[in-house]
Amino acid sequence: MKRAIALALVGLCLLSSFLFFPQAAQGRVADECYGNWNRCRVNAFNMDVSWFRMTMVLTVCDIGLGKCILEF
Amino acid sequence: MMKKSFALSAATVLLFALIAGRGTAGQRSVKRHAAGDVKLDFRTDDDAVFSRPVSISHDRDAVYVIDAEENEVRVFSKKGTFIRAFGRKGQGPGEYDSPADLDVSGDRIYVTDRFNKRVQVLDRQGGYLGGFRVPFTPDQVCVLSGGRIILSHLPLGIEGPEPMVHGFSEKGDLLWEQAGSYYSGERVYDTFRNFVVMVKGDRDDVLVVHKSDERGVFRFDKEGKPGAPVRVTDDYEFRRISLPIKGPKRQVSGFCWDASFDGDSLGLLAPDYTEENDLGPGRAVFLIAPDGLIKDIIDLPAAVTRIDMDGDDIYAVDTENSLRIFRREQ
Repeated sequence: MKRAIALALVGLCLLSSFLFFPQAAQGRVADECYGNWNRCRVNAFNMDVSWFRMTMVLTVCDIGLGKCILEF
Repeated sequence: MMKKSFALSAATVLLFALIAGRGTAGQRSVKRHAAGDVKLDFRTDDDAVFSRPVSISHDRDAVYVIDAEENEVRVFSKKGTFIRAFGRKGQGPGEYDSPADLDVSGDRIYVTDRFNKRVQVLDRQGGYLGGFRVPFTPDQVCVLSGGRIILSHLPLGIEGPEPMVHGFSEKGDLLWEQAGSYYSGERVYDTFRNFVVMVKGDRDDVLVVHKSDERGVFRFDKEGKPGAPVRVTDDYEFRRISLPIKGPKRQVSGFCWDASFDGDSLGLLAPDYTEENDLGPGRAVFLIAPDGLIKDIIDLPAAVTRIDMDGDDIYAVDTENSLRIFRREQ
């Protein structure tokens, strides 16, 4: 009986970690993608380039964000 | 008959005077001033040329320039003599990851450390005294009376509007949030729309100026209470530009490149058209009176990206990333 309970507990732990970790990893990836994107657009503004050029850089930042999210 | 025509003439003159009076009541004669370069004290070029200058400010005896790429603050005398630099890249005390702005209050310097998401408090020599973390990437900082620390930040704009101005206690407790961001879902446009300059006003408050598409200058006191916004009059023209993005949001009206506050005037550095019909940093500073009317215009000898007004002097960074000091001619 004890063995069955222990096995059930182990199984439950494994199942919950299987369910939890992919989501946590996904969350971390999304955070990283948005972090890089934010860094990219802040740098764009810090460059003080003219606005047409800045739009180009911001668009590149956006493409990078989309690519980053799609890769994961 | 003579009396009647005299009365008629007098009435006509009075009417014209009244009309003329009404006409000038809403306008003010705007003075244009030239500003010349102040010859800087001896310096080496390396000290006064920056990699990515993002902020210039002053206190009673020094001028501070933040270089975001070098992760340092450079300190100059008000005559342009290099005094010291402090800061380096990192995550520890006195280290930065893209510092954004600073304000001096008493003997303390408050620096926003953007990607480390914190505010660092330093002594005037750059020695670390403390700091606190914030849940966003802080941009500009103004320190008001009672140790109120006001921060602005560029919102991510992923899920909807976010507050852009935040009030903290000296210990780093969040006290209030204000100035909800614009959200249309068009990320590039929204980024332009939400890029603001925050400056310290003359009523122990902060003024929030949008760089585009907004004439209203918003005020918040140290408790986060909004003051009556100042609407800059139409005499100060928007600089319109079409951005290379799809959809109806591609038209942007440039309002200011940078701003500064001195005395009772808000100084707006107007953007200017480039040869390619693009919009870049300008060389004219418009002084806006508290009622929103243009008071004076200062023509600078060069296009600049950052300004900081101090009486007749304007500390600035030009488009070559060099420190310049201009003096207004009367």
